[in-house]
This record gives sequence, structure tokens and C-alpha cells, in this order.
Amino acid sequence: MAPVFTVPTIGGPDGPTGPVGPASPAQSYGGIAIRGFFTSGNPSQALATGSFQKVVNFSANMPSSGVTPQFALSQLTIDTSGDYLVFAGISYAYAPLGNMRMALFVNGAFRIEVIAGAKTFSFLPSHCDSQNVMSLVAGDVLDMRVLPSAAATLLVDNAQLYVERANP
Amino acid sequence: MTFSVPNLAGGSPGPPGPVGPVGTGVYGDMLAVFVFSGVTQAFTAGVPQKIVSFGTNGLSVGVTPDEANDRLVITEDGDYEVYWQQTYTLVAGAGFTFDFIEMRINGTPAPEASLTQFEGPIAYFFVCASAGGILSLSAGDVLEIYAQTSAGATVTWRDAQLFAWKARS
Repeated sequence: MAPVFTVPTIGGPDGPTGPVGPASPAQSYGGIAIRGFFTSGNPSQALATGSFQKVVNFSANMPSSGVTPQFALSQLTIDTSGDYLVFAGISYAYAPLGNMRMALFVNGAFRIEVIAGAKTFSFLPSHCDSQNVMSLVAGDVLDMRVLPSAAATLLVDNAQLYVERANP
Repeated sequence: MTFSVPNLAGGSPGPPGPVGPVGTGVYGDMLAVFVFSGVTQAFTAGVPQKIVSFGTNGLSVGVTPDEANDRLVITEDGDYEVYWQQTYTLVAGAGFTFDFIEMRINGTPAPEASLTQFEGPIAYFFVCASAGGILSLSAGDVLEIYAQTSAGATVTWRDAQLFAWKARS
């Protein structure tokens, strides 16, 4: 009778480590600002009452990706559709006594999502800001507008308008 | 006689493991929350001082909050959304404004995320100041908030936040 050899089955080695996970998806972001220089101040802007008017004199673009900031036009343009966190803030002096509302406009139309207001009194500095998440589409043009309770001279010390996409 | 012996080298290697998780975000924040109290800080006219109200480190990944020194430290290069807020009241002094309340990066002002000529409070009334922006930052950068008043004053800092959130680019 022939001898019987029993050989155990030996499994192969472990597979190699899996590849590194994918990089986090890129995110669109960008903004514009009015930089403050308390020693020199910024240009003033005359405002009529009765309608929202675009805040001008933006002086800097923020870093951006997938968004086109254009401080010279006091606006920024969305390049990729999506939901965005939008921040708008303004610090200003203003005369005469009254109130002022600040709001975000998209393609020239009022948007209720980002709006705030503050008192104005004899050129005492005032500030308001607002932020919210909203759907924007490629080509949308965003700017900041203000509505004074009376014809006024607006001195903007600082302003920021920036977006950051929520769902890359 | 012929013996048949299986291949002792074993089978082929197993398949690669699963792909790792998507990278995490990079962020960090500090807080000051004094609902019924606060931190007082005296200012001399025209002298910038770091605001020292922070007392709690918040969540962080890749950004180092350092409430003991009232600052955030960046550990990865990139573009970041930064934001700060200070709520304050007046203890002593009157008729002043803040020449600025500003973010500084390594001691240098970042005017895109700062306020200038901001109102000083009337006694007992709260004032809220805030600003934010998107800034390009490098590992090792230190973020702090500085203020300067137009006249001598003592301010009580009430509530505050300072955060940095890296944009995925």
C-alpha cells in the first residue's frame, strides 16, 4: 500500500494595504472686501432714500477658487452651482440720524436670506452683518446694497462679502 | 512512486483593502462666554493691545486653539475662512471709539477681516463687533485680535469667538 502524505493547505499572504482615500473634493469660495484704514478713511458715497443702492468702493479681492471676485466692480460671480454659505457685513458711519438696512442682491434682485440693519446717528460708527446658506447657480452675480431711511452720506469703514460652497 | 504535493507557496495575495476615508476638514476655534460676568481690559489711547478675553478652546482639527495665549495657530498651508466676534460693555471712560478691532496674522493687520473706527459702548449697553473673510495662511501663522481706542477706557469683554476653517481647494 502506498504511503499517504497529508499536506496542510497554506493560504496566501495578506493583500496589500488599500490605496489612500481620495482627497476631499475641492470647494468653491471667494470674496471681496473694503479694507479699513482708520488713519486715512475710505471714500464716501452719497445715498438717496427709497431704494436699495449698491455699496461701492470695494478695495480688495479675497483668495478664491471657483468664484470670481471683482472688487473693482464691487461684486462677485459664482462659477459653480450649489448651496453656499454667504456672509455680508458692513461697518460704517452715516448721517443723519436714522436706520439703514443692508441686504444681499443676486443678479440685481433682493434676496431675503441675507439682510440686517443698524441705527445711524451723527456719524457714530455702526455695524451689521448677516450670513445664511442659499442656493446659487453659475453666473449669479452677488453684490451688497443698502437702504437708508433718509438721504445720506455713507462712509464705509469696512465691508466683507464672501461665499463658501457647502456641498462640493 | 510519485508523490503529488500542493504548492506550498499558497494562493494569490488577497485583494487590496478598501479605500480609506475621505480626508477630514481642518478647523479650530476659541470661545469666551461670560453670560453674567466678563474680563476687563484697560486701554490707553492710541496704544494697540491684544484682546485677552478668550477662555475656552473649541473644536479643532489641524488648527491649534491656544486660549491661554488668546490665539489660534495654523498648522497647514491653505486658504481659510476666518471669523471673529466680540461683545463688550464699558466699565470706565467715555466718548471713545475703537480706532480698530482687527485680526492680526503674526502681528500684522489683516484689513480684509477687521473693523476700523468702531463704536465704543455707552455705559451698560452691549455692543457686538464682528468681521470675517477669506485669507491665505501658512503653517505656523498665529491669529490674534487686537484693538486700539481713541481715548483711555476700560472695557468688559463678554462673549467672543475666533475661528479658522480651511477651504478645500
